[in-house]
Formats: sequence, structure tokens, C-alpha cells
Amino acid sequence: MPFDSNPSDLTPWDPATRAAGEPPPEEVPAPREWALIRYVGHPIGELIPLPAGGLTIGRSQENLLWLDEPEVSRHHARLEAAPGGEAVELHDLGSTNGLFLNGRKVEASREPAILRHGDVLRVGGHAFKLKRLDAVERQYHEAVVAQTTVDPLTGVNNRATLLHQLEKHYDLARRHRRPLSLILADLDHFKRINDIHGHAAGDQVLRMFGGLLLGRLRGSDQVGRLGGEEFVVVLPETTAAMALSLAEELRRNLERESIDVQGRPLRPTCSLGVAELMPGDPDGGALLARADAALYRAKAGGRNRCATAP
Amino acid sequence: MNPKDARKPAASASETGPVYPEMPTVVRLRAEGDAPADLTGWALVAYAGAALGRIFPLAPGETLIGRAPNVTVALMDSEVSRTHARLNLEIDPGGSRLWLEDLGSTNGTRVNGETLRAVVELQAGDRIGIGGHVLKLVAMDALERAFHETLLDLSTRDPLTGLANRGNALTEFQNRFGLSLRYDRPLSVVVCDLDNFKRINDVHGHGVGDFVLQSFGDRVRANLREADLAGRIGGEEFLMVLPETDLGGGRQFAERLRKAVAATPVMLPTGPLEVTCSLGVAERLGTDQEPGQLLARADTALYLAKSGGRNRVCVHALQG
Repeated sequence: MPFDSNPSDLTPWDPATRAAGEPPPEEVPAPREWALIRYVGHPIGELIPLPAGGLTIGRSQENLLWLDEPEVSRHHARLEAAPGGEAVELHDLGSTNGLFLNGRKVEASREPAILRHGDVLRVGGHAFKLKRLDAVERQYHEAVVAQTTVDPLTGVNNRATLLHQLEKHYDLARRHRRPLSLILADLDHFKRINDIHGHAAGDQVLRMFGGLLLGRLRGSDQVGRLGGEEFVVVLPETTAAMALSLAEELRRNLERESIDVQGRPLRPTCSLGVAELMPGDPDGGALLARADAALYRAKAGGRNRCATAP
Repeated sequence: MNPKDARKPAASASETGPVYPEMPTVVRLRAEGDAPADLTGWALVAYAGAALGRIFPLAPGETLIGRAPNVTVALMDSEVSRTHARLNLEIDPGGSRLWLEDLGSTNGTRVNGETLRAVVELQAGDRIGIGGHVLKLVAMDALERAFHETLLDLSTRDPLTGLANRGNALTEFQNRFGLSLRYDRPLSVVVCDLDNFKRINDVHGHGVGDFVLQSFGDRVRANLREADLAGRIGGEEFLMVLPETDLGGGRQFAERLRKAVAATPVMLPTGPLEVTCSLGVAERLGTDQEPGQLLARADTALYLAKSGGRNRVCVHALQG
């Protein structure tokens, strides 16, 4: 039966919904913190807070707002709250070529430009709106970004976001000649779980597996759901040998888990394919394809196992 | 502008994105900071609550906020009264003004946290609190509009097929089930599954599988009426919700879609690929209290269509 009579997600996922009886959310505008909201570019809606020490913008990676655009200088500009906190100063760090404020090109100057709430900064293919946020605004922006980047069932990144992150890490690893590995994990016999135990049980397995992957992440690792029962973990600074031992750990962790289906334990397993970036890989997709080939071998070898791409 | 037209309510923002009413050029509410030069109109954006992210463009004249289905700003929230509050956007050559009035609601209306005692004039950036919802009055220029529309699109649409995504399809189904129950109007659902899809993926690769799904999405859209809703609710599973449609009408729709899919193979570089689908149809019965009950019957019918040999339509005609 593909459905139970009460699919668990008939109620929309909504992090901003409060439980009944809770006091209403803060509605009195009480602006506290400055932030840039990405209005054009990926990920759209992203909230970039302006820290106390200021926010540097540039093409070089050490900038807090890193924009990989040809018209942007390596160290381009710095945003900093003005004394008193009522405005933000834009300091020129050399070239302001390609930086537009409210549609006007910012000219190089020793004096900082003064920005206010609602001002729009354009750099290359990106546009940011400067906002002074309070709790409601912050929650709103965080929730809409989550709605567009997170898989609502499992809480891991959705397909589009994951593929975007993969290409970004591919570029970084290439440019700096650093290792990058990828794990492609697929739940074994998932269609059978859905067919025999129903979609609710299948969803429960997906949620549990997503949680297990999220729980094992290091800071810069990315995990996403590629579709159906396929998950990807992107591992910067990681060799194939390290990725394989992590894959093996994930496999064993899942093996130990069980979910309760009408009083009976269901013990799902998964197969995992591991691949490390090679000089011949033209893009992140090529790395994914080699992990897919490894996954195929893990499946063909009897499932509930890991395999590495040659 | 004809004053009669000015009072026409804006269309619902649920499926195709918000439809902006034609705005006169003189709209001068006080904005946060300076009003944008290319201001095109005003909208309420749901900043908190179940409608989070929804945009409600404001037309000149009256706009009702409430839980009733026929209001422009419909909020599915038990703390919201059926017709809860009224907005009035006055357009005149000297500038525009927007007024808000509570319509004797049970739980009251708040503006920036303060309970409304009388009719109040609103300013851009004001927050209207109704039940668990917070609606912010936003000045819509081209950038603001594109931003909110893109976000809404990304969170409600399946990027591959362009149909509603699972979350949006199930939420909309729930809403339409509620309407059908309350007003005792017919409602049918069709659950559809592409036949042997896993085999297509395995034999031809995921790229071809994705292309098949896209083509199927196009066929569904071509056969849909204005009020119908179609969404992708799983890998190769789709849900169609047909308001004002009985079981016979639902079966006709499903049969038309089945024929359209079976009659036109998907064209691959290697040649045509035959694709078929199985469909289950069910109509809301008087005994249905939950949308899940209706869905489960459509699903049973789909199961029969699959086990009966695929490429067919089955209807669930039995009581509960």
C-alpha cells in the first residue's frame, strides 16, 4: 500500500508554526542586527550576518562574503556598522569596480559610503539587500531558506542544493589541489519496504537514515538527498581511504538501528559507493558518476557493503 | 480606473504564483526608508504561521482577511475568525492610504504587537498579527517581487516536472478536501504511477528517467483544467486533485491522461520509448472525515490497476 490513511506529512512542515497556547511571536519591530539578504544569486534568500568586526567582500576565499566573480577584486570591500548603529559604512579596499549601490556604481573614495536599511548592493550576478533584522525577520529568512534548500522529510539538503555544493567543493579542491571525496549511499531493497510495510514505514526509514548521516558530519561535510532512497555525502579534505572508513562506519551504524513497524522491528541496510577526485574528472558530476559505479559494485556484491571506485 | 474593477479581489496565490492587480501609478504609502523608485504595489507577506512565505498582493479597495475560503487573504489557522479583518486601500491623486479594521474577531487583530481598538492607518513595514500568523506590509518593487516569487516557486514546485511538489500538493489537497466537506461539493482524486519506471532508470540511465518524468509532467499539464491541482508526491508517483468532479468525471480525466501517455512515446535519441501509467480514482464520500481516507481509497484502486496488468484506470466505487 503506497499510502496509509494518515500520511505523516499531510500537515505542512513549518518551523515557524508555534505550538497551541504559546504566546504570539514577537510582532513589535525591534531591529537589532544588521545582515545582508541574498536577493539574486544562489542560494537565494541566504542571510549573511554583519559581525562586530565587519564583513569583508571579495573574490579571495578568506573573505566572509566570498564572491567568485571575475569583476570582483580579491579583497574588494568591507561593510561595518557605523558608530551609533543606525547605518552601515561601506569601505573601499582597493578596486570597487563592479560594485553597485542602489543601481549606481560605487566610485573609489577614501570616505566610506553610508548604507541604510533597504539599500541594495549588486556585485556581478548577485544582489544583496541590507536589512536591520529582529527576531521575526530573522526567523522568516531562515525558514524560507530552509524551505528551498532542505528536504522536508529527512532534514538533509535537497538535490539542487547538494549538487550546487558539490560543484563548489569541486572548484575549491581543483584550485587548491586538495583532496575531495564523495560517498553515495543507497538504502537496500527500499522499494520492497514501501510495498510491504507502506509508505509511512518507508518515510520513517528515510528520516532515520537522514538523521544518522547528519549526526556523523564534520564541519565542512555536506549531506543531501539526491532523490528517492539515494543520499550523498560530500567530504572536502578527505582521501578515498578516509572516506571508505567513514562509509564503513555509516554502514555499521545503520545495521545497528531498527524501526518499529506495527510492533515488529525492521532493520534496513544500505550500500555505499566511495570515490575520490581524480585529475581527469571534468566536474563534480564526474565524481558522482564514479561513486555511482562503485555503488553498483557494492549492490552487485550482495548489498550492505561499501566499495571504492578505481 | 473603473471603480468597479478596482474592487475586484486579487487572484489566489496558491498555485501559479501571485497575480498582481493592475496598480495605478500614484501609490505613496510611507515606506521604510525611501520608497523605491519603481514601486509597483503593495503586498502582505506571511512572516510567520502556516502560510509562511505566501504573498498576498493588495488590490485597490477592500481586502478581507480570514479563515473563510472566499476571502483574499485566507489563513488556515484555528485562531483566525472566518472573516477576521478588512483592509481598505484608497487610491487618490494626492497619494494612497491603507486602513485596517478588525471585524469583531474572536481573538483580535494586532498591529506591531498592539491589539487593534479602532480603524488604523497602516505604514509600510507594519506587522499585522492574526492568530499565529504575522503578515508584513511590504512595498513591492521589481526586485522585491522577483525575490518573493522565486522563493515561493522554489518551495512549492517540483523542479523536474514543474508540477506542485509533495509538500505543496498534500497541503493543497488538504485545503480542497476541507472546502469540499464544508460545502458538500464533489471532489475526486487520481493517484498515478508510471509503469516499470525503475526498469527505465536501470536500462536507460537516470537522465532518460528524468526526461520521461518531465514529459509526463507536460502531458499532465496539457490535460488539467484551471481549478485542478497536480503534484509529484514520490519518485514516479503523482496526485491529481479535481474539485467539483464526481467519480465518473474523475475516471474520464484519468482515462484521457492514460491514453495521451500511452499514445505518444517519449522521443529519445535512440528512438521512441513507450511509456505507460496506471491510475487509481476515488471520490470523497460522506463518511470521509480525513483527507487520508480518500487518498487511501484512490491508492487501493491504483494497486488494482497495477496488479490488473498496468496501463489502466481503476476506480474505487465501494463505500468507505
